[in-house]
Amino acid sequence: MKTTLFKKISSNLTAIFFIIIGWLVVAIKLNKPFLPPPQVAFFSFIKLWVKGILAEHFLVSSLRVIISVIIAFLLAVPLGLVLGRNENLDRYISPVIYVLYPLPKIVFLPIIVVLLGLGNSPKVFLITLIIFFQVIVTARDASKGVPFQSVQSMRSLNASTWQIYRHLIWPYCLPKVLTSLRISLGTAVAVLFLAETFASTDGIGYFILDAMERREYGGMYAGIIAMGLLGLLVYGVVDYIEHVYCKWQKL
Amino acid sequence: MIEIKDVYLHYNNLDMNAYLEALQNISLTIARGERCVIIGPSGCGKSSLLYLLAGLFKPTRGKITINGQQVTGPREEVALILQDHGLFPWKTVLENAELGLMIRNIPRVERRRKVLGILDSLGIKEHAGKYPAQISGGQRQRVAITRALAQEPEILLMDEPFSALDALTREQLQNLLLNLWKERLLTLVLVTHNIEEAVFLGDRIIILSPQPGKILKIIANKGSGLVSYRQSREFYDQCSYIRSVLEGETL
Ligand SMILES: Nc1ncnc2c1ncn2[C@@H]1O[C@H](COP(=O)(O)OP(=O)(O)O)[C@@H](O)[C@H]1O
Ligand SMILES: [Mg+2]
Repeated sequence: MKTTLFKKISSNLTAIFFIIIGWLVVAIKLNKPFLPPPQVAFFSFIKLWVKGILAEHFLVSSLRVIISVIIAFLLAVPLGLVLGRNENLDRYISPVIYVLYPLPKIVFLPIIVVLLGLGNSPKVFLITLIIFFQVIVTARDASKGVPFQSVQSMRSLNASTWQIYRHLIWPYCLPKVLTSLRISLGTAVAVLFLAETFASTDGIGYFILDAMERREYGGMYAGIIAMGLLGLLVYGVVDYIEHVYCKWQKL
Repeated sequence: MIEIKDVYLHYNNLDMNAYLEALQNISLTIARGERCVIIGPSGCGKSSLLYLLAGLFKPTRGKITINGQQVTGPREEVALILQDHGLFPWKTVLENAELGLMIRNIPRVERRRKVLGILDSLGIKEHAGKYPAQISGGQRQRVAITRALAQEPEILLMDEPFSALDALTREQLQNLLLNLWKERLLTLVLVTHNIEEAVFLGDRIIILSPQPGKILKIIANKGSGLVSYRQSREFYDQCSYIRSVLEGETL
């Protein structure tokens, strides 16, 4: 276990190292104010973070993502798992999902802003929506795919419906659900950025745009680094959950 | 005692008015303590018959009673072991083995004591903390047997339990099963497509026809029940006789 964690960290560091080298090379070649070399960005990142300005925006954005993930997960997983096991219910609800699932949820941003204002709720709502659809579709398909024989085996032990969900369907679907969560997180962070630049007074998106408008390029890149860290944080959390609950998958 | 009377089973296939006749006019009485082996070509309805006995499906026509009571659902005194899907890869050996007791809300301490005792007597206690993927096929089958025995069943139903194992392991487990049958006074109903297995284990062998499964022949096999039977002349004669009956039907 320790060695795999070590390997993971060292490969991550290698990746970061190459990103920095690439950035440095391009910055020197271009020699333009809108692309400062990495050390400038890092210094302003540290400066702004220590001052608390960037940290505050980072916290705001992180909480938005994390709360959205939790809400979407709690709604989509039970609903998706049940849909996968109930053909009748599925027949009525799936068409609705199929109409809404491929729609880029960002198109609702203006309406959501009109309805919910400029605070946290429109962002949380929008990201929740994105994750919700991805997860519900995966959860439904996964629970549909639970082997018939496994269900029969549970039934022969006289398991209740709840016990079948608890001991079979949920653990069977969890790895797939986590994968879908990981996929939707990329979109979620991107959309969060847009939402925070479009109608916001806080969050990393706002911070980046604000710095850009003031031509404060060091600050802008500090914000971009913070956005990257936010991605790292949420992926890290999902990986950790997977590591704890889906160990058996790697055997 | 199990009584199967004029049982038919039809499956409704997805295309609306097509249905498949899996079992046709099965009548059979299995006495307490008997070792009844059902043999037949693949697709003849062997698994379906076990599902009926386990109370997982209802016959389309006819009646099944166990100890005088009509089978309407899974029963405590009946344990079912499926070929592949009995064990869950996300549960350890111990958790898999105790699943039946857990479902019946037996307190943790009690069920652990019981299950560890059986795991010990089957020689796999040391693997209790491992996952199914980390042990051999034969050991996995022992775990499945543990789960069934923990239930203290009167009737043990097994669906091609040893078909995925190599010859040596298969014979070891067949011997083990014979011992368990003796020790625990089980009624055994075992499905197989392996002729040697049928002759070694069954004191009565039921030969089913290809789909739809009907009883072709019932063969008394009184010589069986001892490990030494496998080396006897009688054993070979019985095997070739059954082979001729099966081939007579399939050719
Ligand atoms: N759930 C099901 N729905 C429809 N047809 C089935 C189902 N289960 C089995 N069958 C069909 O019923 C027949 C008997 O199947 P089965 O009992 O699994 O046979 P066996 O165990 O002898 O191989 C086969 O033709 C199979 O395709
Ligand atoms: Mg079968």
